[in-house]
Amino acid sequence: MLTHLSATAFRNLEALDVEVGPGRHLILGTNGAGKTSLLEAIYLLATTRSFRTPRIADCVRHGESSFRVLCETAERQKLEVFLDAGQRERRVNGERTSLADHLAALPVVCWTASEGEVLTGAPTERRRFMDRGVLGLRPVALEVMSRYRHALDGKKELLKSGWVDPVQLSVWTDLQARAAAELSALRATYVEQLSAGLAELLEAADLGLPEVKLKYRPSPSEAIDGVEAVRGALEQAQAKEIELKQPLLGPQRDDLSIRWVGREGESRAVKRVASAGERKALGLALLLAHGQVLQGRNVEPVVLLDDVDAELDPERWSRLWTLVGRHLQILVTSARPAVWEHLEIDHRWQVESGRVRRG
Amino acid sequence: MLSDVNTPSSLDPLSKLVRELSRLPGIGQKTAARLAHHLLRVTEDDARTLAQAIVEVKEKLFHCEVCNSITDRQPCSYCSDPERDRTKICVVEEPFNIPAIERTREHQGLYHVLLGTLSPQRGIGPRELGVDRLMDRLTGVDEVILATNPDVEGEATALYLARLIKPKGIRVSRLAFGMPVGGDIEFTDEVTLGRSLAGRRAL
Ligand SMILES: [Zn+2]
Repeated sequence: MLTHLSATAFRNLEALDVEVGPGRHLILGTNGAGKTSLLEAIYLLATTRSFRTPRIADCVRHGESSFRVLCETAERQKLEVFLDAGQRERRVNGERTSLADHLAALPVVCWTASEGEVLTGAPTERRRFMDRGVLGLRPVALEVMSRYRHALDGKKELLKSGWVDPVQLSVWTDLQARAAAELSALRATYVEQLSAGLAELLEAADLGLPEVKLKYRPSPSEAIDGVEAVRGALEQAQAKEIELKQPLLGPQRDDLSIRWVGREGESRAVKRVASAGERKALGLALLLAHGQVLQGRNVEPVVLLDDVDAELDPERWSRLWTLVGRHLQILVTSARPAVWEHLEIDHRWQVESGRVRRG
Repeated sequence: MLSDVNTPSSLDPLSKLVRELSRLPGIGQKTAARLAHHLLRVTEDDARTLAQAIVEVKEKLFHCEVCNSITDRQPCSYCSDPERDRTKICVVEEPFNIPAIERTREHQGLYHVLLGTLSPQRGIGPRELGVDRLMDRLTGVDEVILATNPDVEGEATALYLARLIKPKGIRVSRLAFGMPVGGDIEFTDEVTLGRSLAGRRAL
């Protein structure tokens, strides 16, 4: 949980230094006032990444050369992210720690405008979604992910070079198989937990949505049966890989299928049949289910919800809001004060032209 | 002339020093600047001693033509020591890995320094590593200990060598590192490394 937040030269925000209490925070303001920047600062502190841009320098206030954001958590950890000579720097209690340790200090669950991509976008969005979930539960999984990436890159280069030394290729396939089996197991476990959490949440929320079925689709399909199975599948694909000069199987091809189950048990891809409002409700439910999975593992995430009430009918939203969890710290932005009139809120904030104030 | 602004000859001495220091591994711009300012303050004698030491290393030391370790004579002290066990060869990535293993006193055999690891990304294959030269040394050897780092490339190199060496009927073992993944032999304390040498596993 966040207890203190400060920001200097960050986006259009005026110098900020505030105490943040527990409970539900509503941040109101017109578009462009700086509400999203406020959430972005927290997200950046928690993950060292921005949800708006891959170019961290974009976060610097116009006319300044660097920014600095700082926060304290209830566990008395001090997190810091800043730009130094154009480079991103991160600190936990003044020290540059491992990324896994940094990620563990302030777990977040975040909804932004691009979140809908999980349902409608390319498989890469769903792989990112799964990995974010895996990392939320187990920051040390970062090591497995980077090991897999490394092994895959090695194999890619070998295949690309045309003539392939069979001994070298089998070595890199072996390394790829080992990391793939670990990564697939992590993703499978996460999806299983998420699926159970989602079912529970949808039943409690009564959103008027059909039953949803989540299924992890690993590549190769044997991936969750262990290293030997993965290695076998990779070896079978080898001749084809050499011919096409690229790796064809592996977690870089994984997907997550999200389907609606009809009354007769038939299932259809959500992205084809759901309306924009239904997709938004389901997307949010997925995110909140993720939050519950974290809580089930005694991780208490800060929930960041950016402009979450847009395109969502107020009835569905108020049902979801009651489920967001009154025990968590939640920061939610909105440009529509009317939507919130009858909802339970603990703290109110106003953002106007980059100025953040209570009330 | 504008285009000359950044060539080494036109830099002032301090910037030149920062530039040279920042080319060293693990030294960023900031550390380089700090080191340069430190060197500015040392006595002229100390500065000369340091400069001399750097030049001397280049003049008097070279790679052993048998095992690639750093030496001032040919072959090196490990290769020419009659007390060392010639039936065991420990394979490491870099010459600076040897002192760490020596300190454990668990390995009394010979060494072979690869001067790198297999890395398709950087175009380093068996030929670039001189794997043939290692193979040529295996007559009379009954165990090869692969002590490459436990990162992806070190692991790939170990697996690769194991596949070449094992068919020759030679025992191949891998250092079982009791250290964090991504750790480096260089930074592993003697006790951990000694324990891993004793508990090395067959590949
Ligand atoms: Zn030698």
